[in-house]
Formats: sequence, C-alpha cells, structure tokens
Amino acid sequence: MALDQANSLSRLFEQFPGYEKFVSHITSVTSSFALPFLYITDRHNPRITASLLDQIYRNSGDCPSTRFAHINATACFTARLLYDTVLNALAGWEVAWGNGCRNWPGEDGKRYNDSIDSFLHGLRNLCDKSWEGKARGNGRMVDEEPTMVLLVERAERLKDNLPDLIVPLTRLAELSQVKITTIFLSSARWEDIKPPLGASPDPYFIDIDPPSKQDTIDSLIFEFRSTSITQAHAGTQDKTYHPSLLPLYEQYVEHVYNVCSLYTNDIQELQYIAAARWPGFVKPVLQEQSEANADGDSDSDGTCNELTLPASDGRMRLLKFFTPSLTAALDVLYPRLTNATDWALANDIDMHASEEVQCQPNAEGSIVVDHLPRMSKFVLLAAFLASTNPAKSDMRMFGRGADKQKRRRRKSASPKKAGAQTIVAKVSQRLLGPLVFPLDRLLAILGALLEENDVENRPHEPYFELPGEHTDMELGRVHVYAAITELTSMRALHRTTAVEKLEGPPMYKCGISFWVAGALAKDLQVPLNDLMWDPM
Amino acid sequence: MAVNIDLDDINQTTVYIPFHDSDDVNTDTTPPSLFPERDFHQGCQLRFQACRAAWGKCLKRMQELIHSLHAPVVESVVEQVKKSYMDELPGLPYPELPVISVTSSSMSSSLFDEISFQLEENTDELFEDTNDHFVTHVFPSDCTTITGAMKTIVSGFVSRSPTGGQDIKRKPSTSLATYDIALLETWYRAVCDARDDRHHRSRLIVIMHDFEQLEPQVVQDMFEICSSYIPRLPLVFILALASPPSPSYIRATYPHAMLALLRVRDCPFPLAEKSLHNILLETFFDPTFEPDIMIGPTTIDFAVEFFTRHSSSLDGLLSILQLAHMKHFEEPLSVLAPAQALGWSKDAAQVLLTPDAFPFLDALFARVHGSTLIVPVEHATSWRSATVDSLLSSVETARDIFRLRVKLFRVAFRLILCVRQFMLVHERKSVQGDQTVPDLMCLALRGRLGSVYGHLCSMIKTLPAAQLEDFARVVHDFFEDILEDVKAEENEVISRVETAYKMLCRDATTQDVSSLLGDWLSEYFKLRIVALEDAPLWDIWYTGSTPFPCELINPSPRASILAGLIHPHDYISPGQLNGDDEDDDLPDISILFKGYLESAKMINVYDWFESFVVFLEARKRRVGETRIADVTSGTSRTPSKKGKQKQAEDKVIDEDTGEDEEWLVEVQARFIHALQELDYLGFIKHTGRKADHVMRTVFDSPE
Repeated sequence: MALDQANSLSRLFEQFPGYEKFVSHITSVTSSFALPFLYITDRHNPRITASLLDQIYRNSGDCPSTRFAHINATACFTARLLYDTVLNALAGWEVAWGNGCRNWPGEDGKRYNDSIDSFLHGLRNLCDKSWEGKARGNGRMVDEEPTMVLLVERAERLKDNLPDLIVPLTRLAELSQVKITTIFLSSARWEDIKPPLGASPDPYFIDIDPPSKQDTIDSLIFEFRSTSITQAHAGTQDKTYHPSLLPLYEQYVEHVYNVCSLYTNDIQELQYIAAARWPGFVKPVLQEQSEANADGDSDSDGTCNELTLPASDGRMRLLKFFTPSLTAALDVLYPRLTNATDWALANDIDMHASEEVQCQPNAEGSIVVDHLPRMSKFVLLAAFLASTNPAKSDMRMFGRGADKQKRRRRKSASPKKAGAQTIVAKVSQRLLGPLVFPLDRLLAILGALLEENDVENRPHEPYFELPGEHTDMELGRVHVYAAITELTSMRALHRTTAVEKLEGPPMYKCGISFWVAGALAKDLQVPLNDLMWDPM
Repeated sequence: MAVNIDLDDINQTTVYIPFHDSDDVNTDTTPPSLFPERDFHQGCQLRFQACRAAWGKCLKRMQELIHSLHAPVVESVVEQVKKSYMDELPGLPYPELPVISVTSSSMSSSLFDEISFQLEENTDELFEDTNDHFVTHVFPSDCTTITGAMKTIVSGFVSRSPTGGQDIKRKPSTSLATYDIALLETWYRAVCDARDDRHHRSRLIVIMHDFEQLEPQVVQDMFEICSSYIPRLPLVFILALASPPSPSYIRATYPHAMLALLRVRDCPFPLAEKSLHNILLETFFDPTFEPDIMIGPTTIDFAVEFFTRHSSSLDGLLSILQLAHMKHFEEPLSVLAPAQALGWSKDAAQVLLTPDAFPFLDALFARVHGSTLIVPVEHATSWRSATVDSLLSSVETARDIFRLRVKLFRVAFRLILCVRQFMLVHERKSVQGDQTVPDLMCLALRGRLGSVYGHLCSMIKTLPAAQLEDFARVVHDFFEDILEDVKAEENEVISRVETAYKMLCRDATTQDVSSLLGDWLSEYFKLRIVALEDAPLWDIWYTGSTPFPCELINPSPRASILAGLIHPHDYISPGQLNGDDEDDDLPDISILFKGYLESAKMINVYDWFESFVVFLEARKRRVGETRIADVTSGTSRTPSKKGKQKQAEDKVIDEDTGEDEEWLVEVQARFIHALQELDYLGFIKHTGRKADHVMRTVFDSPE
C-alpha cells in the first residue's frame, strides 16, 4: 500500500511539476479531516490545478474511504443541478437511462434536491449508508467515518449563479454533521466572493505560485510522452511523436518558451502553440530519416524503432529557421484567429521551397470588408465617426464652409490648449470606447459622408437640381433604415434603447474597431483621418 | 345612418360612433387599367395569369440556381461534421469543441434545413456510410437564460427515444433535471448501446440560428459547460451568422478564455456579387433556357445597383425581378405574351369581338401595321381584310421572330464571354477593362457592344500560333455544344469556323487564318448583337428601357409624407378635385402644416389656432362671395347644383342668424383633430418646457 501510494505520488509529481509542495500539503490537510473549508487561489492555471486535485482524490490510494465530488460552478447554474451532481458523485451513482435517469435514491425514497435542507439530509443519509456498508463489510473500520471532499471549480461563478448557496457550502460540514471538506478553487480572491456580514467562516488559504520556466518545460515534456504513448497505442504510422524524438522536443520546447514567454507563459497556451508547430518542425527530420531508410531499405517496415536525431548544428539551424514561424503562430493562434489544426495544415511547409511562404498576413492588414453592401459600409463609417467624435464638433468637421480645409483640421491647437488648461492628458475617445449617439445624428453624418464621397457613384437622376437634394432623398429611403437594422442584428451597431420605446430617437453605439473602420474607409476612399476629431 | 346618440348629454363621457362604410364597395376586384384607352374588359385578368406563368417559370429557374449555390456549402459542412473529433491534431492540451460558423446573410434559411436533412437522414449507400447524426435547433428566443439554453439543447436531443420504442417515464422530482447535461450524457450512452455503436460515430449537432442575437454571457456559459463534456458527448455546433466572416463577430465579442475552448472553422459562402452575376447570366443569357419575358438593361442595371448598394440578398433580387414582370404586364398588349394567350383562335375571336375590346384591337392593329410584319406594298390593301385571326397570326409570327432573335443573341453573347474568358486566361489583361458581366449584358442589350467585340476580334488577329489553335478549338467546341435549331440558323459562321479550324490543323499560315477568323467572328457578332427593340412588337416580350419602378422597392416615406402634406392635391384622386383655387380645399392638416413650416422651433399652439381660424374665415368669406356672385348672376343652374345651392343658402341663413359660437366650436374640433394627426405622424414633441408650446421635430425646408 505504501508502495502504491509512493508510486502514485511520484507519478503525480512527474505529471504536475512544480506542484510537489502543494500536493503533500493538501493531502495532509484533507486526509485527516482537519479543515472543513479550503480556498485555493490559482491565478495562472486553475484548469491544471483542478485536474491535479481530481487525480489526487479520484484515485487516492491512501484513504479509500474518501468520497469525492468535483463540480464546476459554471455548469451547476441552479441549486438543484448542484445538489444532484454532488450527491450522485459522492454516492458514486451511475445514472442510467433504463431506470428513467433516477438520481441517487438514498434509502428513504425522498427527494434531496428541492432545498438545502433536503440536500443536507441527503448528505447525512449518504454518510450513514456508506458507513453501515463499510461496517458490515469489514469490522476493522467501524470507528472511521468516511470523509468526503467537494471540489468546486470556478468558485467565483457561485457569486452570480447561486449567491445564496455560498454560505451553506462553506459551512457544509458543520450543517450536515458529516466529515466533508469543501474546496473552492478559483482564480479570484476570497475577498471578492466572500458573503457579507461574516456569514461564512474564514477558509484555509492555499495560493498556487506561478510555474517556473523549468516546471513549464517539464510539464510540456510530460505531455509529449503521454501523447507518444497514446499515439503508439492507436497504432499510427505517423512518427511525429515518436519517443526517440524526445531530446529534440526538449530543445524545441525550450525554444518555444523563450520566444513566447514574453507574451504568455500559460502552460496550455504554450502547449497549444507547440503542438501546432511541432509537426512542421519535425517534418524535415523525419523526411531525412525516411530517405535514409529508403536508401538502406533493409528495415523500413517500422521495425526501426530508433530515429537518429540531427546533430547539434543541424538542430540550431532548424530552430533558427522556425523562429519567425513561431512568432507568426503566436500572432495567429493566441487570439485564436484560426485553430491549431488548420494552422498546422496551412503551415506545413516544405523545407526546400519555403522562402516565400513565410509572409503571413498580419491580423490588421487582412481585414476584408467586401461582404457588406455599399450603403451599409457608409452607415458603419458614419456610426464610427458619431461614436468617436464629440457631438459638438460635427458642425466643424462636416459643415461645408468656404474655407473648409481650415475649419476641418483640428490643427495642432490641442497640445497648446491642453497645456494651458490642464496637465492631465486627455485620453482619445477611440481608446475610451464608443459614445452613444441618436439616430438623427447618424443620419446627418451619413448624409455628409454621402454628399462628399458618393455623388459620383450614384446613377444620375435628372429631377434633382439643388445640390444635396438627391442625398437627402437617398437618406430617407427605407433601405437605409433597413441597413441600420440589419447592422444592429449583426451587432456591428448596438442599439442602446429598448425596441419597444417609441418616445425619442433610438440611440446607437458603434460596434466596430478603428481598424475595421480604417479598412472600410479605404474601401470607400473616404479620408477617415481628416474626419476624425482626434486623428491618429 | 341613424346615430341616436345625444352628443350634448353631459352624463355620457364617452361616445362611440360606429364606423359605417358608406362608400360603394367595388365588387369588381380587378384594378382599373392604367391604359383604359387600349385595354379590354378581361385584359387584366388574362394579363395577371400570363404574368403568373411567366414569373413562375423564371422563379423556378432562379431557385434552382440558388439551390445549387447551397450545395457546396452544405457538402463542406457535412464533411466537417463527419470529420470532427477524428482529425484532431495530436498533442493539444485538451480537446476542443468543434464549431462551424456559416455566414448566411444573403441566403435563405432553407440552407440549414438542407444541412440537417443531410446529417440526419441521408444515407450514402455507396460507402454504407449512414449519416445518423442527431440535430437540434436553437433559436435566440429560447436562450435568454442559461437554463433555457441548456434545456433547449438537452431536450432537443433527449426527446427522441434512443431505442426507438416507448420512452421510459422520468419522474420530474427525483430524476435528473431536464436542463442537466448529465441527462444528455446518459441518453447518449443509451443511444450508443442501442445502436451497438462502439466507436461513438453519431454526432450531436446543435444548430444555433441568428447567433448574433444570442446573449453573449449565456453562450459563454453554454460553451463552457459543453466543452467540459467532450469528447464523451461528441457535440458539434453550427453557428448561423448574419455578419461577414471578417471582421469576425465571434472573435470580436467573446473573450479569449472562451475562444480557447473552441475550434472555430468558417464556412463562407461565395461572394454574393459573383452569385448575382451568375444567376442573371444563367437565367436570361443561357441559350438552353427561354424565359417568357426578357428583361431589359434598365432592370439589370437597377438590380445590380441595388444589390451592391443596399442589400446583397438574393431574395431581394427575386423581388426586383418579380416587380419587373408585374410592371411589364401592365401594358395591355402584353396579354399576348404567352403562346395562345387567349385560347385557340376561335375563343380568341370571341373574346376580342366584343365591343369593349375594340380599343384594344385598334391599338393592336395600329402596332401590327406600323411594324415590319406587313410588307409595305400590301399596306394599302391589307387593312381591309384584317380580321382578328389575321392579327393574332401576325402576332404569332412576331413571337417566333423575337424568340429566334433572342436565342441567337444569347448564343452570340455567350460566345463573346467565352472569347473574353479565353483572352483573360491567356493573360491579355487589356480585355478586362472595368466592365463586369452585367455591364456587358446591358451594353449588348442596347446593341452597343461593338467596341468590346471589335477589340476582342482585333486581339484574335494578334494571337500567336499555338494560342490560335487553342482558340479555334474553343470556338469550335462552343458551336458543337449548342442546340440543333441554333446550329441550323448559324450554319454560315459555323462552317467558317470549321474551315478555320481545319486550316489550322493543316498548318496554314497563322497570319491568314487569324485575320480571317477575326473578321468572320466580328461579322457574326455584328449580325447578332443588335438591340432587341428592332424586332416587330418587341415590347410584348421584352421590358426594354422602361424605367424600373424603384420607388416601390426602396421608397422614401419621409419625403412622401412631406410632399403629401404640402401638395395634397397630387395624392387625392382626380375625381375628388373640384375647386380651381388651391387654397380653397386644402385639408385641415395641410393648413396646419403650412403654419408649422413658417414657425420657429417652438410653436405657440394658441397662435397656431388663431392663424388656422383666420385662414378658415378667409376661405369662408371667399366662398360666400362667390356664392353671392352666383346668386346674383344665377340664371344657368343645373338641377344638381340646385340642391347644393339650397343647402348653401340655408347655411347663409344660419350664419345670418348668428351662430358664430357653433362655428368656432367646429373650427376648434377640426384644429384639434388635425393637430392630433400631426402628432401621430411625429411632427410634434410635447416638452412641457414652455406653457402652451410644442416643439417642432422637422426642420428641413421641403420643396
């Protein structure tokens, strides 16, 4: 038994490098049921910590009488869901379709999910029952009441979903008279979700430190090993995760870490990027191998288990060659502009003809806006201007005066003015987020934009003689309003007033970024910078 | 109408005056003809039927085309669903939830029906590849809360019995909740057991309609919950987005934490503009398809302009073309558009030989005799012997001529496109110009394509030897593929192309052949690409350059309301107009609106009322004067006028008795009524900032 325990612990240490202290800490705290309520704060990788805890308790060899329930506060969005999930998990009850998806029945046939009282009753019942079972099974453990552990992942969501349940959950052991430890795991601090008036007892705090560089690399290497094991089990011919590539992978991962750690040191993000680049990275190595094998063609039927790795200068060249594509991967994959699978396919480059593939279009340059009709583009642009320019500047920006160039320019008066009046630098509205504007203002700006930039593109109508008359007519058309509504339904515009409200003009907010507006303006050949009160 | 209500009764605070439609209800449902001078009684009905038939044919064709646009998208979505959970990159930190986003802004919702049909029922027998996936649909109205969203998803699947037999009753209190995803998991296990599906091949597909309308917070929670259950539950999400794939709505709205859980793949539609060009080309310029009505360049222009400017939806295109058809059939002569429009000749004669059909016949006769159908020599004599039958048979002849001409026109146009395509492929950039396919269509229909094909033919002459041979083969193949009847008509150019082709095969000098071929083709185009208006009676089958009624598709309500208030006479049907002095019969609301336009930002309601009174009094005085003038001079009185006069005289007497007060009450009521109407139209804002004042809301100066 001791050997088992040591084994499983060492496996855990291997899988979760950097958590050794935490593991011994928490097992000692919970195995002896010393504390009813723990609060673990992990700002970095709560997901990994959760899976570690899950593994500790699910296959804990040291205390077989521990019952464990792992719930996610997001998934348990109603009290009933929480009660059901917790009780089923603690009882180890497998819900089956055949018996009508019954929950753990207990023995008195009552329902345990309608209130906190019945839930506590259920807990008590569960405890008694399993105790009895144990007692009957082997007499040695009669005196030992089973301990239970309830792990609540993403505990910060309890505050929105089930604020009434926080207090009972933190006092679960006290209320139910059962040896149950509640563990809240969250990326937020206890102070942020603590119920008022000291209704909950103060928890035992454990903070998880950020993983060090070596820990990160070690855990990525562990993942490589487990992937290669699963690949081998699946029996694929693909040698991308061949175990003998491990030394090369170690070097590769370290390189990935060095390149990306400036932007992210989230283990899972790094693993994501590493996984996306690895097949392309290792491809030349594998190719060389297969060529060598083809030359020798003696043992090319997979019996050759060892792959010869390139020499150190070869590795250095490989790493150097792939550095730009790693940053490209970070650029695209970290904001998930595409997914790793597709990226890996698209960037599966050939060593020999790869020079021109490197030019990945960067995210901002590749905004394509040709899916919208022309009027919608103008509406969006007008909305952007209405949301960034202050309303009082409209007359100056869009009014058609004799000396319009002079008026329109904001000039360099702003620093002078700012210096004279106040020292606090004004933050540009573009950075503060969009302002709300009424529909009328949107239409007025749209009219100005159309009059300046769209007259030539319009089919000529002989019956409009006055300047601007045609634009006025176009502005009132049904499809302009339809375009606004359609853009609202696309959430490119946000309507801030309720649809039912008839009083007053509807108010909108622009939903596009400066970059999109820039692309639109370029497409429509509108000088956007001249029209902004606070140009770039 | 007996209204036995005592309006003076103070105890009755509310009075209900029932509505009695006193106007004669027109039992004849057919609308009046726009051209009564050359229409006949049944014309409208017949034209309506013809229009229905013509549009139906056109619509069917276009729907097929739109449907074929869907096919590749449906296929790729189905393919991705099948591959999900199988084509995962090894080594990822955790499985990702597959999400396929489909941009469907310009497409109809039938797309998703097709997708779900393909996924649920369609069986690919060739590979024994049953698509037995489960599909459930989620609409924004279901998803205002996370409970509702989960309930929709879970019960959408669970409502289907896994074994196909009787469903086992679940007790609502002691079983899993209906919004618990664990229930879905249990159900899926049961399904896999029942189907003996050890590899869990069935996918659970959730189609989320109008994804932008969903509450982001709810969606975020939902994805988080679902992603914690994969791959035990092979869920696949299909998002129906209205917004374009770039800038991406999903990436702009949702945080990184959620995006990291998903594997989003986009499934974009081909560019809407391209599909529009294609649909127009395949419907109206396909040699194998003959629409009953050919649309003219103005309609094409409008459709393209509207499509690129206002709404790139194919449904909009359908409406435009339907409207073009309806507009076309307003013309009385268009009743002759379909073959045997009026039934067989005997019936036709019966229909047309009624007295009220004479104007129609007259007009038709004039058109037939004004056209080239009648040889000029016969003009002097033939009109004597004209019968209905002979007229109709002339129309038949005209129809055949027009049909053939359009058909040959289409073939020639397609050949031009084909040549142009060839030149483009061979990197002759100069061909491109800035003309799109619809531009070329319009030019061709107007018969002004000369410069384009002239240019193309001159380029043929400069083709190098190898390309020339290719080119000759392309043209040769083009003529091989066309219909037999066209071949018979075009044998001249076909034989010439044949000759050129053979000459090239025999290694003749390229120079000679190319210049010959260029000239021949140019001649051919010149013969065929002519304005369709030259055909006799063309306006029966061709909309020509009639302006498109764009006000019906894209009206400007604000301008119409203002114009209606300022010039009410333009909107009142001419029968009700009687006075010659405009001011005399302005409706009250227009009088009020005049004052409105002249006032400042705030309007004093009392002043407004005063001016209204002044205006009405002035009018009353004028009416009185004219009447007095009438009375004094009155010798020529028609009987009908007599009654009116008498009434007026009564009124004069009333006035004389001095019921000024009653008049004032009436004026006040009329004022309030008109004011309410303006208020209802949104011209007035009650601010309460200033006593007795209301605010103007409209400040444009109309005219």
